[in-house]
Amino acid sequence: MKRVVAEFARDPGWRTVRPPLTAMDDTPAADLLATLRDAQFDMPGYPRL
Amino acid sequence: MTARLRGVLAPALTPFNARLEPDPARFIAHCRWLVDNHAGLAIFGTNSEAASLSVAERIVLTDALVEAGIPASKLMPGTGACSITDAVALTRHAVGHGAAGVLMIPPFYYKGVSDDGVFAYYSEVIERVGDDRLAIYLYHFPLLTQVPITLGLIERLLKRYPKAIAGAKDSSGDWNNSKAMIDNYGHDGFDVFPASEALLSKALAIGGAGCISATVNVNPAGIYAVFTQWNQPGGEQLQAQADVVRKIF
Repeated sequence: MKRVVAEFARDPGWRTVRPPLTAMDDTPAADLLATLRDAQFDMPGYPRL
Repeated sequence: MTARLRGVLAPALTPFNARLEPDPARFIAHCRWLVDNHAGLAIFGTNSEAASLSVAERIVLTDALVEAGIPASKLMPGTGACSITDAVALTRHAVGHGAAGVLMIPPFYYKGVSDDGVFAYYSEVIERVGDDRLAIYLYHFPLLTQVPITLGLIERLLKRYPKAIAGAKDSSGDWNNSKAMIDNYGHDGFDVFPASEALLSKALAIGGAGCISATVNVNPAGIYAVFTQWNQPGGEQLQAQADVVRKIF
């Protein structure tokens, strides 16, 4: 979830999670974001850096 | 507390900076966007990484939201804790701000505890907070906690504390359980929020209050549209569109 917010906010800082959780790896994140784009998903008006 | 919260709530994500400290500026911006898109804020839920936050950090973040002008009437902070002392401190703080309610997970470290024990936990918190404005939403997440909020427990709590027990978030993923909560106690003003928007139309059709779903963090407008239009022409399509996003996550 945070990885998606980071993408749409253009803010990599959103990727950070507290241990013991770990941030999503780039490969599954890229797959997730591609799937969302295919579904025409958007977060309109989300505040960007 | 203020008027009852109904609708679509996000267990708002908690941003951290590079030192792993909570980041109030990002938190406020995220919550403001959610509120602007008609979502309520169930801050400090599971997807908020609440179990990784201290009492002091939760208080600072709540204060930051209120000071930034986020209406307390949109807040349902998670205040459950394994320690009664911590739960009381967090709940008092939320009530003091005028939050619409608090979402209370039961103490979850010890497994196999009895309904009597869980009843005593909630009872102790309610008595110690001692404030007529208190509205507790019981957080049923048996897969994670292994401490269920049983129907029998709800009934006992409602009988003893009809004003303070306001409803539940049902994260069981079991529609029959959500339905039983609504069917049995909805008429007593017990507001039930399934934890997935996939159940939103079904829940609303029998008297549910909305949903508290992680996906609200990224799709608040789409899910709110289901809440407002589920029984209107096009409602099924809105539900289907929300389901598509949900399934991706």
